[in-house]
Amino acid sequence: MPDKRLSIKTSLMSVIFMMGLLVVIFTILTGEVYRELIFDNQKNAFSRLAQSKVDELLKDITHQTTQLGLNIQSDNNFKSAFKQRNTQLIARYLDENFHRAFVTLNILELKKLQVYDTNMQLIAESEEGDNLFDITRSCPEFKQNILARTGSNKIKSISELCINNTEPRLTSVVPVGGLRLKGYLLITINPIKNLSVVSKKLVTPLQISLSDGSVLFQSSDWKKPGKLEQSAKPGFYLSSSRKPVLEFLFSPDTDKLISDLSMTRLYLLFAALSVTLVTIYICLALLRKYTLEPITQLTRHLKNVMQNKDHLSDKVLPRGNSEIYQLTTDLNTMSQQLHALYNTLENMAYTDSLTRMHNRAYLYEKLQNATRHANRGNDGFALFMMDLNRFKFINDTLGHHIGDLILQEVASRLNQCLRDDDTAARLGGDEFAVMLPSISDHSGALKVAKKIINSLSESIDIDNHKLNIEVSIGISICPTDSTDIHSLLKYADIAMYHCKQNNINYAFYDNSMDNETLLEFTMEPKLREAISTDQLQLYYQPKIEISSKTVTGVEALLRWHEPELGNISPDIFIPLAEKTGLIHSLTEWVLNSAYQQYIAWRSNGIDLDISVNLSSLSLNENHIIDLLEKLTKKYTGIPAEWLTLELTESTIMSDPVHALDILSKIDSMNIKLSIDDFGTGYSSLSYLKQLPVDEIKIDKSFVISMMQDSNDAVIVKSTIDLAHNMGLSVVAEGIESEDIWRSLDEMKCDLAQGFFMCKPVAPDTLTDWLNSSEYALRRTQHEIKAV
Amino acid sequence: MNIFYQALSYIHPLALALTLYGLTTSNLQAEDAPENLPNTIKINAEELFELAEKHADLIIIDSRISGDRNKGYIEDSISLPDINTTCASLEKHISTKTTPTLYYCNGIKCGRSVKAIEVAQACGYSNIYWFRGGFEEWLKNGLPYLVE
Repeated sequence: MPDKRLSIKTSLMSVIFMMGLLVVIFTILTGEVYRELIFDNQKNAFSRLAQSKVDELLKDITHQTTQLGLNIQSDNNFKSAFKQRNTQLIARYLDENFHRAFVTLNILELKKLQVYDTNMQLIAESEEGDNLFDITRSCPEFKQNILARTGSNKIKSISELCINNTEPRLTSVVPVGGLRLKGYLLITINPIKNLSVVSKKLVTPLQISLSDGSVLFQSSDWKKPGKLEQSAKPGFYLSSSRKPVLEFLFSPDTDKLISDLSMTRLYLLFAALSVTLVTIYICLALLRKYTLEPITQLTRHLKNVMQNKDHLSDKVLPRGNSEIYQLTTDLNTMSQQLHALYNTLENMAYTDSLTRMHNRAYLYEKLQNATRHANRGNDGFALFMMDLNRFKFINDTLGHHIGDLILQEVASRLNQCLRDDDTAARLGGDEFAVMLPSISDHSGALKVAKKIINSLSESIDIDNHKLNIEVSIGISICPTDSTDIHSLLKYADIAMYHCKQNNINYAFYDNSMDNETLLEFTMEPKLREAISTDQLQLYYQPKIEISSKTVTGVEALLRWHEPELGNISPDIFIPLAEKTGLIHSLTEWVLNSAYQQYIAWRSNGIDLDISVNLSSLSLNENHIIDLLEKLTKKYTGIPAEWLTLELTESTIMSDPVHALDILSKIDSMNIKLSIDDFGTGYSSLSYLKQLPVDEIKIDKSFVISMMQDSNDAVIVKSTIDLAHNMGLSVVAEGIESEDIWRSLDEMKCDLAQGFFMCKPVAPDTLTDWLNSSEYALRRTQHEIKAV
Repeated sequence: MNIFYQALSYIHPLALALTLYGLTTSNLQAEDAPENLPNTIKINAEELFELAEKHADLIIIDSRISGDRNKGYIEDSISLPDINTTCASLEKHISTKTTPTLYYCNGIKCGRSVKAIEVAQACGYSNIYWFRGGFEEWLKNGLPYLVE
């Protein structure tokens, strides 16, 4: 499954990019807020500046009007006219001044000149200017203020902004009479033209309007504010008597400001982006240097170790962040320890503990490598299989301790004879093997063999014993003999037994050597070992009563699984056992196993008779009787009625007198007897009659072919009839089809055995078969006592 | 941005220089007039207005020379520079020796009114008022004046 997990790099980079994104978003937002603030500040600052300018202008205008007033009343003509209260003269004089001011000054847009008495009653006014200008109507509050004044304030000049018929007017009141107040001179002007100068001073378009919105002045370059700009227009109100009278609105050139701000925003964004990118780059560089690379280094190291354990000894240079540094250091320590442990384990797995030589496993590994090497067309090698002659005798007579010392000495001498490249191993017992790389001819191997023989021929001194050891060396050569390990080992073994048979020290394998004999020769110790270990097993084939379809018993059949050679046929190892005398041990093992199986079944409620085949040798001596008695004693309380011993017809007929004796003894033990392979031995029926036999088994060769060969059918039929006549039950073997089963049923055959029902199987499999087959189990006939 | 520059430009460097010059030169000028003069009533601008209301026959003598007076004067004041002040010239303007009379000149740095008062007193005039702050104080208080 592909690993969909995110790498550390990707995760960290995502986080950094997210943070960078946040910075950019934050910058944009801050920029927006600051833009608003800047617009506001700009507007306020401009408004304040403009207001101060307008105030300045107003002051200036006031000063000028006041000055005009002073000039008028300083005039002696005016003085005398005023003194005489000559209203016509005063009016004319006012008109004169009106004109003069217009001609000479043309700065003030005069609208009216008036003279009032101390109670603010009009005395005279100019004809020029506004037709109707009455301070009582336009500026009542101002009038009240003037009258309300006390002390020296009464003779001070004062001005006010008023509205006369929707037009703004600035009226300055100049007292007449100096210290002794005699009246007031009122100069009224339209201040708009003078005030609009502020537009030029600030180089900014201006609009002046009344508080009701009517526009009084507008610069030629005045721009109507856009919807967005409305809020950003700076301006203020000019008030009179705390009431807003004139609104000043400016339209500064904000385009440049806006573009400046946009540029600034771009710069800011660019700066933020650059900083973010640089930060990301630095972060990544730091991450790579202090975290990612050290981790990658660690992963690479672990991968190497996984591929080859030799890399456990490699050290990773600790670096990076403290945690990773610590991790690397610890991993190094652990690796070292593991490496040591691994070496120890490997040593233990590949070393023989007694001689400190290599063991079988190591040799196999070496052989595997060497054969692979040879198969690629490289140099071959020679393989020695060695065995110490008479070692068993020494072990038995002098004890295992001495035997062990001899083996150690042999190992030491063997090692001295070999080169560094050679491999010597102890395979077990007194069996050794040597592999000589690069030696693939007889002469080279012979040299080494002779060296070994010479070295071992010197007597060994142990515990005051002078022991002479002789060695048999079987030699096979790769690739000349074979390139297969098992063949090479077998051939070297065969050559070694050839030495033993011919009393020589060494032999090269050659294919004329009698494989069969030698195989048996090699198999004897294996079979001996098999009897004492678990390599043997009993298989069982059911015997079924045909009429009732009931399983009444089983025939026990011996199986041998040899670890190296695999399954070995009874046809091979039974004769071997008979030849080597191992048959008695084998028989004992089989009977003992049958007993145990019987007990096991019974405890599970399965009641089956068990038939065991006896070897022909069993009858020759009384051994079988002793064995049966021994077992009867061992399993007291278990009557042997369930046991049937099967003997072949030929066995019995080879020594009929002795057989009768033995069989009678067996019969007396309540053990049933069966004649196997009946019909092949030309037995005398009259003789058979004397034997204490319970059943006969028709040889399967007749049964298998009875459907095709009518003669065989006749033989089977007549044998059944004959046996029945003699009171024997009949077992037919080799039932391989339903037809045969039916025919035998018609022939009244008692029991059937064959692949059609069930082949010989292991006890567990048999139990399964019993549970699932159509054949019933016999009901338990008697109880047994627990053993 | 140009707004800030504009604002700055209004603080004219010349104005600054003039202010500094004014400060240094005034220190070099003559001493201030005395706080009080014997047998004289010292008044300020506000009191002068009340005085005029109270005494309809109040005579106001402007002791400055014509150059100063031309720049502006208190209405109804009589020009009589201190250098021209004598018993004879006083007699022309003041009807009796006890007529209330006020003397003023430019201000506290100007000693002309002091000199004129000294002459008047020597001539036997009493009921003398002294506007020590002079025309400077008058202007500062925003009171009206006439120009010749």
